Formats: sequence, structure tokens, C-alpha cells
Amino acid sequence: MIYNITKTELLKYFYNECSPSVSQLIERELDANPDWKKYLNYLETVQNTTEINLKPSDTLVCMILEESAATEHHSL
Amino acid sequence: MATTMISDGVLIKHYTEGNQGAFETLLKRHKNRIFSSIYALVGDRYIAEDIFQETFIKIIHSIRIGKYNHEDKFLPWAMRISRNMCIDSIRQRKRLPIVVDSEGNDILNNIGIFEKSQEDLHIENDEITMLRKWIWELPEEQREVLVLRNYADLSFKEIAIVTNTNINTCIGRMHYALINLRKMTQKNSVRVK
Repeated sequence: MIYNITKTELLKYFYNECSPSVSQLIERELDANPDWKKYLNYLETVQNTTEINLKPSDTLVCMILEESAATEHHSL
Repeated sequence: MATTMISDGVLIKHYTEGNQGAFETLLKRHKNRIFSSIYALVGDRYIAEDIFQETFIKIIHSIRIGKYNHEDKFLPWAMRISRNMCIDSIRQRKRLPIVVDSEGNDILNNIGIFEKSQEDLHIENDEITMLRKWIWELPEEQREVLVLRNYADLSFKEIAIVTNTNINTCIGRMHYALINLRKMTQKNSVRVK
């Protein structure tokens, strides 16, 4: 049976944003739809690629914490 | 043993009541995602650090004067502030006149303001690096949705609020970003699984 699942629904499914009923349908029919699998794999690749976990420097974090304490102190 | 994480809204409430540690927890919880998103939008570590600092100064000020009323929606709110600052920064950079040296080179490039750091410039010749490079070549509004969804982990609904658009526009931009990335990979004969 052919289900009319759009790329928008697959996109929402990938990011856990589609309705439970659509999620269940996609999961049930995924093996029978290689195109869906291919698209979801592609989304995963892009997501992995865009994942860079940069950190602000410790000095900057300390400066912000000082600022937050100073503001707090100032307002008391 | 299960642990319960204190929500952002509760941390902010504690901070307004004088608990400095609550703000520290909030900052440590979100700093990497906010910083990575800023960096992904402006493409320069030094500018990203400035914007990150300005964002948190504004956050501190807003909380202290009682302007924060977003309960547990701290991250989308913070991202909205930083995103507006990123846009201002990009606009300012575009407005700056180009001053050239005797050899015709942009002097700002020579002193490294617009250049990526050595770390950023370290290019490895592999598929992932190429794909990452092409993300920088996407139109701004497409890159923005991709970044906010994948780096900041905002939902499409939250991205719509942050970018003053609607969910369909955000999803449409995401589709175009993915299509364009696919085209770039095909054009350059790079296989992406």
C-alpha cells in the first residue's frame, strides 16, 4: 500500500515534531519505502555535519558571571 | 537514580531572588549551543565572542529589571536576542567602507578581522569538510534555519518565533537548504550517504 508521506512530514519526523499517528505510520512503513530511508539518512548526515560544539572561552564565561554578580549586587 | 533537572524558569526565578549559582547553572547549561549558533551565523570566533557577551549582558539586564516573562522558553528568547545582534553585526560589516593598502588588499583582511582563525581555516579534504564548507555558501535565511534547528536545537515553531516568520516558511527554507546542499554535493561529485 502506498502512503502519501511528504518530505515535510519526514523532516518533522526526523526532528520529533510530527504527530504520533504520522510517526507510527512512518515507522511501520519505513522498510517498505527505501526513498524515505534515504532521505532520513541524508538528514542525519547533514545534522552530523553541522554539529560543531564550540565553547566560549573560560575567560569570557567568567566575565559574564562577574557581570551577573555585579548587576545583582548593584541592584540590592 | 533519576535526577530532576531544575527548569530554566525556576533558575531565573532563583537568580532574581539573589541566588548567583542559579545564573551560573543557566549559563553553563546553554553557553555552548548559543555560542555555536552565533558562530555559525557570523563565521568569526572573535565577533561571536563579542556577540555572546553582549547577549548575556542584555539577558542579565532584562532579568534584573523584571522583563523576563517567557517562563521555560529561555533558549528561544536568548537565541532571538543573539540572532538580532548577529544581523546587526553582519549589516555593520557590510556597510564598512573597504580600505585598501598599497597593493590593493583590504587592510581589514590583513589584520584578520574578517578572516577565519587558523583553526577555522584548517581544511581537511574529506566529504564532511566539504559539506560543512557548502553550508557557509547557503543563502543566509536557509543557513539560519539549518543552524537554529541543528545547532541550537530549536523546534520549527520556535525558529518561526525567533525569525518572525511562520512554521511553513521555516520548513520551506530548510527544504531549500537541503536541496541546495544536495545540488552542491552532486555538482562536485561527492557522495553523501
